Amino acid sequence: MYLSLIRKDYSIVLRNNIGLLIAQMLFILIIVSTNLGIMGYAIMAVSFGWQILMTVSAKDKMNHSMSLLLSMPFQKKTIVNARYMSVMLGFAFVSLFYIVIVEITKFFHVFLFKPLSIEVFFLTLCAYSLFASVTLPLYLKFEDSVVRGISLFSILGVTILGVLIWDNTNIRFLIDSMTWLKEYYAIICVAVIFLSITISRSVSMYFFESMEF
Amino acid sequence: MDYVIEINGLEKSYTKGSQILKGIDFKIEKGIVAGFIGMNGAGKTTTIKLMLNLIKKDAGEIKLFGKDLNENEKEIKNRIGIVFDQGYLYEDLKLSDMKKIFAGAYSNWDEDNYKKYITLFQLDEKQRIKQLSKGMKMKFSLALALSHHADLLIMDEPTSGLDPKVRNEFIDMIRTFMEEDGKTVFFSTHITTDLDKIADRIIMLNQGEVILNKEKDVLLEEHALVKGEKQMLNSSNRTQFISLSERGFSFEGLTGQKEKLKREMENALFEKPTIEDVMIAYMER
Repeated sequence: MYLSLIRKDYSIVLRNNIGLLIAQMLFILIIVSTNLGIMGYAIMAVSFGWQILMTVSAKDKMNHSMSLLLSMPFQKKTIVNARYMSVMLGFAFVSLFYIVIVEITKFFHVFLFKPLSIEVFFLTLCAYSLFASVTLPLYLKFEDSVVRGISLFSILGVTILGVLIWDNTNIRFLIDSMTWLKEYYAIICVAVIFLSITISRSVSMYFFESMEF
Repeated sequence: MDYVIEINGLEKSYTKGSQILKGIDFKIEKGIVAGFIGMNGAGKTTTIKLMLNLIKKDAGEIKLFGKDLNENEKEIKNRIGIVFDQGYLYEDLKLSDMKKIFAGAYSNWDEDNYKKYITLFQLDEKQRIKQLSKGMKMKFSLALALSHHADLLIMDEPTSGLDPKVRNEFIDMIRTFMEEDGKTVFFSTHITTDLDKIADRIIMLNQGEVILNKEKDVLLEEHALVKGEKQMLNSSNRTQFISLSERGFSFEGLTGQKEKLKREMENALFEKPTIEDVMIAYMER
């Protein structure tokens, strides 16, 4: 059951546009990597995750296809779990894509993309999971335009929050925190991923159970 | 008697003060085609959505195959085939991709059966759903609904917007489906000519209430379309009409007391009504 739903999500996202999608991802990767190095990988991953959520949600709503899925013997929790699996699988694909690109460019002596370290992988997965955890329930519940608005305000909010924290934090505390984080980043990342996905799934289920189709 | 659908006291309102369903009751026995008719906004689609648990009921009970829908949802849905008015299919997917979703959902999906319908309906699996005409989309929906040996076929306005030829093909497919033992069809429509051809039972919904629930033959036998000269009407026989329209020197009306009126209006013309005649008369009442 999960497999057919995940395959459906990817059929919708990829359609006949695999070439276009790869070109888009490469474009993001090259532009960001040139200026911000390894950040290109993180931004490409989040962009792809957003693409999955946005496209699948738009098609579900446009065709009222969720009514059809729920008329079948799919349970609500299966549909919700499959959506999380699709998004997380997206991260695996992007990481694999990045590793392949790094190896190909290395072969041609182009060193634009930095090799993927385990720290970067974990931290990006952590950020990706947080992003998916916040946006996935929103896409289930609200119209796409509303989610776009909420996302923009969230990005703005996080930026303002970051500036406020930076202004009010002393350097000693920051250095101590960084050292601590560097030591325990793997445990922290796993905990954040697990917690965010668990809480998000519960919220999604709550939304989904209360919705009418 | 085995009932496939049992609805008791079903109520639903979307907003406070406007009740779409006002406590409807009906039962559908196994092995029949039941036509669910009513004007637009009568509550047909709401009833079907409630039967599929797509929306939440305010009150009442829904049993399918003798089992409570909420407690046995997955098992019940595995035995139901669905055809929606608009298809609700993913327009960007190829037919073969859409089929994979269905095949993954139903435990008794029959690939050979599916291939048989695809060939019969001359559908090309490589095509995208958005490339199909409305008629072809409905045929594809029917092929998907019939390929897992469903015991109950629920269809919401499946023939609306289809040309007469495709509608006939659709009706023929339902006839073929009914040839197998124990199959039941629940079919909402406002195109009543389809029901004249195929329905065994008619359930009529008006403003959220079931106003008629009878075997089709009994319903048409009990009623008559009466035509005659206006001077035949008097205050006593006028009350025996469900609806009556007077034009110039003549009248036309539908009665549910055919025998009594025949005795009183010997010179009037009594014709067998169609389901549409009966539906319109009851709606105008």
